[in-house]
Amino acid sequence: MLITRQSRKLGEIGWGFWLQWILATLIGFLVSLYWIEVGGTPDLNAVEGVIGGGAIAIAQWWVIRQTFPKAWWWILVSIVGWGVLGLSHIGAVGWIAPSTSSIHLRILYGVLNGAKVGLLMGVAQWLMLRISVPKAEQWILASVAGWAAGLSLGWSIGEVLHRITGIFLGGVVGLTLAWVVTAAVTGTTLVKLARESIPEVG
Amino acid sequence: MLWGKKSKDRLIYLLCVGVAIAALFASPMLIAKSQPTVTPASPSQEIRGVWISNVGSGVLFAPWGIDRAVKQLNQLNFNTLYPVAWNRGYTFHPSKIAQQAVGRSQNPTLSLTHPGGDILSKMVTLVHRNGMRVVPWFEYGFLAPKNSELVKRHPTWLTYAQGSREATLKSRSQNPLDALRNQVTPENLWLNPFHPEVQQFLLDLIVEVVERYPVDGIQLDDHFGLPVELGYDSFTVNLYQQEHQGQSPPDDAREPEWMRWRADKITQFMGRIAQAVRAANPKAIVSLSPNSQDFAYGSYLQDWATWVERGWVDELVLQVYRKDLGRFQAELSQPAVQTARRRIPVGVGILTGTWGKPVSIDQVQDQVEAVRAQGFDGVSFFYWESLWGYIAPESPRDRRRVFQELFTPPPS
Repeated sequence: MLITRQSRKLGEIGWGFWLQWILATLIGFLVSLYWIEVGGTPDLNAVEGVIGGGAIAIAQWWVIRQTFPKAWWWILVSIVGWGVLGLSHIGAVGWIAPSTSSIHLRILYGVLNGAKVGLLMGVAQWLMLRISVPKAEQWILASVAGWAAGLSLGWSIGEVLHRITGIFLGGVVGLTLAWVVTAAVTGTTLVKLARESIPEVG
Repeated sequence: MLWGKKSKDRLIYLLCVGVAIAALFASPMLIAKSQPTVTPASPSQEIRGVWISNVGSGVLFAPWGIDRAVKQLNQLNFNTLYPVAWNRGYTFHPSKIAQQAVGRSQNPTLSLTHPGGDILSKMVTLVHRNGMRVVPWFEYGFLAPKNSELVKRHPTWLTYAQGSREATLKSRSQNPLDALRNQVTPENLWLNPFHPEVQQFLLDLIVEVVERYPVDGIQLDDHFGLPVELGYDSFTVNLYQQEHQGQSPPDDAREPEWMRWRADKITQFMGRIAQAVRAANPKAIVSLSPNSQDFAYGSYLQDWATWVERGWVDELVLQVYRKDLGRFQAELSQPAVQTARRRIPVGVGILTGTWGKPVSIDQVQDQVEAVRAQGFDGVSFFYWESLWGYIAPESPRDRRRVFQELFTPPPS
């Protein structure tokens, strides 16, 4: 069996790719704040989901486009996924700072909502990943874990910052942290999946 | 394969271009949540103002900042903008007067973010198109940063405290605006308000704005005065001696006659400004935003009650940046304020927060209601960024909901 050009590239990705993935996610989120105003649950829905999801997906696509075949699907599935989330009772969680000031509740809500977001986005993005990597279903687990960890940590740290500073910006910083943590977890899995995709030479 | 690589690449680039175009045409941060538009109150009704500052705010510098601010303020029935026109030794519009005195026609950061542009002109056009008033605010008055070009080029324009070549004073004011200024430019000096060149410079700056832009007026604030400790520079001492048979000013900066002499000189200059503004544009108002009369006179030699009495002030926006509602209401009941109300429209400046000093929307709401309960002519908020920006305690939308509630429907 021959090693294809694409799979060789997949096998070559490492921690530099991981860092790029996190940085792209961070930049995408910060750029999305140009259009999206962070707010409470009832205020952010499908429009914010599509725009914000699109901004971040484009930034992430920029990183994966050289490595993953049909990477442009990433943008489409992410936009659709965030749009669906925005339409649902969950809302565009990636831009929502919960109203409760209880850190315990924020952690709990972060885990629950993060798991839901991670599941939906994980399934949506798996549709693209399965084209190029075996065991792509692991992405769904990584997405659930990443979002549950990221959102609970971001929302709780956001509340701590809000209490210290007294300003809403604390919650925005918390959300930024949520995206970074989520990207760190999912990025690890992405590297692992890509490395495992190298077919045996024979 | 159905699609070749080139076709896919084209599709992805088209998608990106599409998103980019959509983004360019979309209104930033208000894509989904435009507030319902309600007919704005006419400017002749309650004053609903906001100060637009360059300090602690990017609104004047971000390419989209002014459009977004005007749109949101209009949607929430604000009717008056007080944009900064003079701060830290720079103007915020291309100015020939500033070019001559400072060597720069406007704030250097503006020249970078709006190259070749004129944000005051843009703001006046946008604000008037939306049926609101625009009253440029000469925020710094006689203040100038120690390291500013203005100070470097005109060292003889400064005034000093007794026995000091440094005009730097720690502000006694509890005014959060001062705290904000001091965070960024800790060393402000004071231009000598008695020096004819200083007076001519400020007068020319103000008249230039009134003549060149169709503004609704100009505003001076609590820094159009002089800290009571100052006035011991050689120019002022000589002037005092000429008018006092060679006697020098008393060592006690708070000696009543010495205070009165300096305050009267500032009052005379205020009269010149009022006359010059009216001569340049009879429709332009002179708005003043001072502290309480006792503090303004006792600490800054600003005798605004006399200015009102002489008819030089068309609108007063009293700064009442108090947290405690009782103290807030007490300030509104001061005799000088009540006297002013019988002559001119008097609004109240309410603090909505600064960096590091957030103000809850409940406090803002209580104070607006207290102002209305006493029948004042309106309110103005300090400042734009803290109305519903991220530096407020609550979410932007939650705060906008309260302002919408406060300003809808327009009072008859």
